Parts: sequence; C-alpha cells; structure tokens
Amino acid sequence: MGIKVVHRHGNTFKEKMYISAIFSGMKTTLKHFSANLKDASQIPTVCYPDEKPTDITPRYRGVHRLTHRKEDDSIACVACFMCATACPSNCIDIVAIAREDGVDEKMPKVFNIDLLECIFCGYCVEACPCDAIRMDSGIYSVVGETREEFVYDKEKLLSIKGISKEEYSLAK
Amino acid sequence: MKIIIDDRAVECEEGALLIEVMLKNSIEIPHFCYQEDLGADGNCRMCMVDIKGMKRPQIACNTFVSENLEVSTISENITEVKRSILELELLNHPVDCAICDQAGECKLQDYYMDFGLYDSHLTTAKTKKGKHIDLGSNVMLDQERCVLCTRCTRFTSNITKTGELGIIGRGDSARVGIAPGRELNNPYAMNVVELCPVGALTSKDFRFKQRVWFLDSTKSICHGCSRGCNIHVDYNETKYSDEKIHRFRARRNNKINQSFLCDYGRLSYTELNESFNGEVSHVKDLADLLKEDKKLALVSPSMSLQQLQAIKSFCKNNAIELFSLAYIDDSFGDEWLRTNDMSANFAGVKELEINYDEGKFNSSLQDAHVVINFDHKYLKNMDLNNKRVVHFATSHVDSDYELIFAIADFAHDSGTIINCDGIRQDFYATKYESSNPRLVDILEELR
Repeated sequence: MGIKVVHRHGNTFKEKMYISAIFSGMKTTLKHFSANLKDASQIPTVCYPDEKPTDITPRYRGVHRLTHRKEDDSIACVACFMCATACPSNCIDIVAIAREDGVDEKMPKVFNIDLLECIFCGYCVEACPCDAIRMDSGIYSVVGETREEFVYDKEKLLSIKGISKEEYSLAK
Repeated sequence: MKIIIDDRAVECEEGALLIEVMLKNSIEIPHFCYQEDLGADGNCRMCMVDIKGMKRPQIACNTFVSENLEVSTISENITEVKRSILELELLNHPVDCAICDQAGECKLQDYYMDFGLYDSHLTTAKTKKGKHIDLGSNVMLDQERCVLCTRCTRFTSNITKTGELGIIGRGDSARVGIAPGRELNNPYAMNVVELCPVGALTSKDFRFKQRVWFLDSTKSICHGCSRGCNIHVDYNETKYSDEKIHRFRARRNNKINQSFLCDYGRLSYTELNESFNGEVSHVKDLADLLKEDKKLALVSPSMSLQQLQAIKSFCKNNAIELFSLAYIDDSFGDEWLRTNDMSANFAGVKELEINYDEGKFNSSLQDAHVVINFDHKYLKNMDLNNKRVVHFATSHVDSDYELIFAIADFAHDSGTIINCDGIRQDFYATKYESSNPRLVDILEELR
C-alpha cells in the first residue's frame, strides 16, 4: 500500500497569529447580522414549536400509515411480514389471519408499530410489496403521556391520512 | 466406480441414479419431481445435465451412472436450459409469495434466484385455477401455484395406496384435484404438504401462523408412539410473544420413518404448548413426605433413559416400589409407522428392568400410603382419595394433589429413547430455557 503525504495547514507565521482568521470570520458574521437587521423576514430559522415547518413534503419520513385498497376501501396489507423482517429495531408486531371476505386470502389481525422503538429508517416502506405501509403522513411530532400511547395499532394506522396525492395503495 | 461431475471425481455404486449420487455428494441439482422415497418421475425436467458424448442435455433422475461418465451441471448451455424450463414451470404461477406459507422454503423461489432472474415473456392473461381449496385432513390446495411434479399424487397412490389425488386436465389447465364429493382422508395425509416443493399444498394447521424464516429448528424424536420417528421441532420466541412450538416436520431417517410422519404425531406438538399454570410445591415438603412408609411410584414409559435411570436410583435410595405401565391403544397401530404401543420409550423401561406388571401394580396401589406419579397419564386426574399423592407433570393438572411439581417436557430436556425396534436415538432441547425445571435436577436436589 502506498502512503499519501498530506500537507498540514496552520504552520506559517500568519496562520499562527490567528488574527487574520478571526477577522475574516467576523466579516461573514457581520455581513449576515446586518442583512438580518435590515430584513428580518428572510431569516431561515423556524421558531419551533411556536412556528411550524412549512416544507414537509410527501418524501418526509413521518409517522407510518396503512393504506386502503381503491376498490373497496379495505386494508391493503396482506400480512406478509416483509416490513417486520426488514425492520432493524424490531418494532412491528403482526399477527396474521385468513381473510374471509374473498378480496384476498390473508390480512393482519394485529398490526402494531411501537413508535418509541421505531428509528424512522423507512425500510418497512421499501420492503412492502403491496404499497400498504407508507410514511407520507407528514406527522413529525408524536406526543403522549404513557408508553402505550406510542404503540399505534391497526385501526389508528389505517385512520391516518397521507399528504401525497396518491391516497390509496398503488399495488396491482 | 468413479464418475466425473464438474471436473471432480466422485465415488459411487454401479447402477445408482445420477441424481442420487449428486445429492449424496451435496452437488446442487435443481429438482421438483424426484424425491428420495417416491423415486424419479422425470416430468419436471429441472435436473438437466450435460453428459459428454450425448447430443442433448439429459435429466439426471433418469440417468444411471456408468464408468467414467462425465457430467457438467454448470456450463453456460445447461444454465440456459434450466432457466427456460423454470420459466415454463413458472409461466402461470400467480407469484403471490406475500400470502404463501411456503415462501422461504419454496423451491421455485430458490431456483428463480439461482438460474431465473428473467422477465416474463407472457403477454396474455395467466390461466386461472382453483385457490385455497380445503382438501380435508388439514391440507389446503392452491392449484395455481402447482408445478405438477406429482409428488402428492404418487404419495397417495404408491405409498398410502388410498389414491385420493390425481392430475385432472391437460396442458395449461392441468391441475391437481380430488374427485367430487371425496376428501383427502388417510392417517398420513399431511405428508403431502411437506412433499410439495412449492406452495400448492399447505397445512391448514400452520396456515398464516408464522413466516418460516422466523422459526428455529431442533432435532428431536416424536413421542407419539413407540416408532420413534425422527422430527424437526420448529419453534420461536419473538419480542412480542412467548416461546411457542409451531410445527413438527419429518426428519430423514432411512431406518425408521424415511421422510414421513403420521398426522397424529405431526399434530402432537400442541401438547407441548399446554403450559403449566398452577402453583408448584417445595422440594423440601417432598423430602418430608419421603419419611412415610409404603411408597409407590409410577413412571411414564415416555420418559427418556436418563430420566428413568435417575428415577430408578431415587426410588432405590428411598425404598419406593417403582412401576411403569405402557400406553396401549389397539386401534392406533397399522402396518407402516404407527404402533399400538403409544409410549415412546417402553423398550427403555424394559432395558432398565423397571417392573411393568399391571396386576402387581394394582395390588401395590391398594396398600400404598404415598403415591408418586412421574407424569404417567393413567394416574393423572385419577381419584386417589385416601392416599398422599405427589405429581410430577409436564402440563397442567386439574386435580388437587398434595404436592405438584412442574417438569420440563421433551422439547426442553434432551435425552435418549429406545424405539420399538431397539434403535437408540437422541433428542435435543430447544434453545430457550423451559420455565419448568428438569426432572433430573429436582431429583438431584433431593439426594
């Protein structure tokens, strides 16, 4: 293996004085300070939670939701466990049962996501072959008083609406 | 005799089938219709190999080995042949792996990943066939997923000789079916689920319970009767559920059960999930009780040799008269795997010279003051009013005995048993610790 020699900065007299670096830094600070003083509306900082972010797009990984089928508004999930298999924090608990209404053969009886365990990586969405789980809810803040409140069950996940224009599952 | 497979010399016996030699030497050869116990049928064409001197590829399951046969399984040509055959097999397959219980142990999935990876050429609609048909005996049929390997029909016609299943129709509409008004009904029916290389036949008992990749597996022996069929115990414990055994699968043993199991044995796993949920007694109280005289013990003939040996020396040290009685059911046995003796280790009871005289036991029971029952079914929940009863149980006991101890069942306590033909076999404990202690540990504590 070859060795790459890297030149080390900061060894000249001018650099060791620090004075010039301080002044060039202060120049940038003062430039922004005077610009913000003239026009406060252009400041990019959001005063959360008094102000809410306005740039949440459908691609933002928010709280999960379970989608519905376009034909009959029933649950799109077939309990294949791909999301639970892909999940690195093991936060999805599924119990499958046979589906009796003839739409499909299998569906989840229990579908719980523990949002306290979830790391919002989005692997479950990637893994889903039925477009049944999405994170396009736009919800970035979940509040609760007990641990149980953070376990979202099937009904809760089905009731969450998405902010993308595709409301229903796109799976064929 | 020597043959050459993929430039590697392989030792084999004359007259053997090429596919047998390959499987024995762990050379990968895709196959659907060939099965060790059912033999070759030659209908799936998946086991194509190139043989030197032959113009076209040949199927390995219909080729007998001969001296210096040169076989290639990995040439570009043969891979292309396999890919085309697999595409034909998969042409009308619904690809509903998401709801298929076979996913994870499906040959179609494996072979597609090995040689498939093509885009379908089918432009017309797929042929529709029957889905989730309940055949009876816990077997569900999905005709669309079938590759027509005829393993199931050959099993019912050649092995059980009941002939319930057959192939109906021709070409695209050929499907496995059952005569109208009839159902799959024989004591070995669920073997077709395990024989099926794809998801066409699945178990109703295991249906949608677990995905197979979440299961752990342990080598064990079925304790349903004295045959001692070799099994895999499939179980798991997840973050959100306790340990549970989900199914028994047959494990190959050519001397005993080949690769089959009877339905009774296959479904006997449910007993292992019956948890003991009462209060257990203190070992100290048992030590006090042992000071009484006229003590009698009855041990289950399904206990392992290790347990029997420990009980035998325990009884000898404490002057307890020890008996064991076999579980006999004359209506259970048949000419194949099932035996009338439904105790797993009665041969072991005989080997350790434990008394199994029923008349002697009954007369001793009359006189006894203290009765110690080591999980024997006959005494469980029996009315033993005027006696002091100690019960060691693997599952829940309803009766109110003086002392009750919960002990680990055979899935949680390894051991050795001897089957009806005198074959000694080991079984192993699952990787999760049982909530109940092992019997030998309790007896050790009493010493």
